[in-house]
Amino acid sequence: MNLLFKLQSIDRRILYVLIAVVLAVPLLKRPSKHPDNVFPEVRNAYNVIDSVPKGKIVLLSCSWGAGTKAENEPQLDALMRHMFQKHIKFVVFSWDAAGSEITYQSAKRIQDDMHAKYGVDWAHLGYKTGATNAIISGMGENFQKVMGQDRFGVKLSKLPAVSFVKNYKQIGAVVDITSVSLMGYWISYLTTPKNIPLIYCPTAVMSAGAYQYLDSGQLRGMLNGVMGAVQYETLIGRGHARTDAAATSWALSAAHIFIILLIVLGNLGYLAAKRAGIHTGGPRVG
Amino acid sequence: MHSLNYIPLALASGRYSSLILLAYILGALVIGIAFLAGLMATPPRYRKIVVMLVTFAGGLYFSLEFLLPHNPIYIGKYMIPGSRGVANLANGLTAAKPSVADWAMIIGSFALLLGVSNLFQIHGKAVRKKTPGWYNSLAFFITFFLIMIVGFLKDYKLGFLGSHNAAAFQAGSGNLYNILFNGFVQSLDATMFSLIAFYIVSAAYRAFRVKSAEAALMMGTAGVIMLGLVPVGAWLTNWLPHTGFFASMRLEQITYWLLIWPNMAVQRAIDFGLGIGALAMSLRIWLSLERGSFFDRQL
Amino acid sequence: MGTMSEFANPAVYVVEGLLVFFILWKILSARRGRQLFIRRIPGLSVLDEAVGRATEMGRPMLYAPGLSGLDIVGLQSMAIMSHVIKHAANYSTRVIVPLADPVLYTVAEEVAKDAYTTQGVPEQFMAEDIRYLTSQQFAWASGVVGILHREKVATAFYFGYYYAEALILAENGQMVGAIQVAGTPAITQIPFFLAACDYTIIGDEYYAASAYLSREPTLLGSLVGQDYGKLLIIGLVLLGVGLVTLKVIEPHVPLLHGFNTFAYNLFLKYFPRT
Repeated sequence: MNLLFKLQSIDRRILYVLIAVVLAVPLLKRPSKHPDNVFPEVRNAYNVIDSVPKGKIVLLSCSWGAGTKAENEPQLDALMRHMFQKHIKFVVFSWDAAGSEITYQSAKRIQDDMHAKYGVDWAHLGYKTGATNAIISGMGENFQKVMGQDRFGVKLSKLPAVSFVKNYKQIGAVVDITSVSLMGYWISYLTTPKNIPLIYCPTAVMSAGAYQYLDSGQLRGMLNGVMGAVQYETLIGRGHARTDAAATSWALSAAHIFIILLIVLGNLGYLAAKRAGIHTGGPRVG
Repeated sequence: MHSLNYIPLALASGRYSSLILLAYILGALVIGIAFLAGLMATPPRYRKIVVMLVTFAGGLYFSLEFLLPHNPIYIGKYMIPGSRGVANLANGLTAAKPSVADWAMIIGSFALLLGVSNLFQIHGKAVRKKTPGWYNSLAFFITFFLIMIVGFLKDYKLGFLGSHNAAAFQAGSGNLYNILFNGFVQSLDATMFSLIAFYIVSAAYRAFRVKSAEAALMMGTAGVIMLGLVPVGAWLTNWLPHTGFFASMRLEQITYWLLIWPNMAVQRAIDFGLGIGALAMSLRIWLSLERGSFFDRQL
Repeated sequence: MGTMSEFANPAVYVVEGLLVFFILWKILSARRGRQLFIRRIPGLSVLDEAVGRATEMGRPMLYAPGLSGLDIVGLQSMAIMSHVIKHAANYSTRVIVPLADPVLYTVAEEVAKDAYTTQGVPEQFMAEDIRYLTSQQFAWASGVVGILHREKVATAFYFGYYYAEALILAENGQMVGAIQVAGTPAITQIPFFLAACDYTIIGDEYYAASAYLSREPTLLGSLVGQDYGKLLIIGLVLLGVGLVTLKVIEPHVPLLHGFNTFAYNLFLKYFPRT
């Protein structure tokens, strides 16, 4: 019985060491097995990108940083690889300076891996700061004026990847890879008014709040955190590659099982204490 | 609107480019200072009215651009008088969006400067007065200037050093920048975010107790969704067929059903409530109806 | 079904017009002296108790407005902060306010000064307690965690827009034994606050907070107007569900065709699916 009571008060330091081990093992082993099932919203996202017509570009709006790199970078990786494979031109831009730097580093690595050419196949437009709604609605009317130049200061008119983009008519899709959710701005000010497909790539914790937009059609697809990324990789033919997304998905699996076990143990201890008539503490006020 | 387009033309041509740019900057400064001086000179009882008018005008653009009809309104073959003028106004507002975006970016950039100047004031005071922990403020200044200088130098060749030395210096700056940005900033950012993984374990373990039937239902649902979203969940019910009635008992199918039906309905309800709350507060601020110590103060 | 309009369509005029009408009508009616009822919100009614706890323990309080800037979320947070500081001023309890936005910092300083002055104790205002830390998310979170541990705060209030740092702050508040009250319109962080804080206010209770605490007629009227707006939305949803259901069963009941066409032209075509 004592053991059961102790189960609900394990020292948090022991828990921290255990979760560190549980997460580290799959990340170090890097299994390459990808999931067989693909959620419909991920498949829809794939179909949207796959059917972007020639003469249109895809906007990849990246509002993430080092903190959510584990979830958002695999999404960027999978999408960029797909677009390079299909020769779909796209631009990447961010909404803060640090994000601009980190997204460029990630994108350049993928560009080099896929032997793509900067300025011809894609471009990075640095970052924009200011009222998001004004910038998004402005770029839909005059893309060249609002976006101006790429991160190196080269005018967009000199970059073959993006020189032909005048306004929303040359935008085939918008992808919002984010840890802060700019989806509301994209929906209100560009994608729904101008009937441009929007793909949402949030961190997993934010994805639950996107299903009503998927239902109403304001979102055409979604990559649900790193799981969405790993499923997307299955669709683009990387289902057996040793990728960060695959390793992270198995680390997530292990962590979820660990947390469920802990909750069960904690509740066993709680029930045991309750049966023994021991008060386990109430709300703390005063 | 047209005069603003002269800047790129003049700069592109190279003629009088610096003079024109200087003239615009000075002009903007003069107008800004004149506006502030005018506001300070306004008698206190009129200042609130000025603020109310500016607030109202500021919120008017996007409202009008969305709400005004962009085409003349006809009843049968009869056009409502004035509707063409309204449509022209609305279309003009839409055409002004790129300029509004420029203004938004300019004003947003001021906030960056404001943040930096605030930091300088606070940390400068701490270093001057040697308050407890002043060395942290000194570290702020050192790292601020270091990464700023190195960040500039990695992209610019210092010609006066000679081409060989300039290239070496630029490469060295680049390496130092990588150490500071990738080694420090990114790693520290990722480390702080990673703490959440540990904290969620201790929070879940401590707080999630099945004290009622509702709590049990929530726990069960949470467990199903946690497992259904990861590969191991699909593996657990892989023995069930992929099609037919029993396919709906697969863990990932149950998870998906929970997400797209009950979860979606509740999220939509919460979003409606939040949306109306945000509408009410925005309306109060726009029409200067908001009350509270900040809004009721003497200006 | 119809296509989504780029600009307002008649449904927008009607629905938004009604929402605005309800809010303004109730504000005017409250200003004319009409008494309005507002239900108890547990997370807010405990604020005074939480201030009392800090006073008994002789330890300061922390009020963190999250990463909000000068927007409606930030301004709402300032309104709640004003209430907290006024209560703290009665007991001479310190309130430390770490901020992540330089513009909101200037507002917070003014609000705090006003709050102490209103309570008749302007000398209690300490500028060092209103601190702009940094705009970087996790640098701000580390700063707040440092304050929680160094100052050993007895009570922590988290009202504002939060992202991932919510759980970091709440767990560290748990570690120092602080009583924690949280409120945020960020739905994604509410589960973390629920797990780690003692009281949490959810969804649009956050926007109701300033009305609840101050009982100011304009704010109360606006709150009641919002509730009327929600009733309107519920009515629209039920109407839409009913009409779409009739549309679905139309193949089996041909008599419905005329009515469905009329309902579509009058109502449904203005609420298209994209």
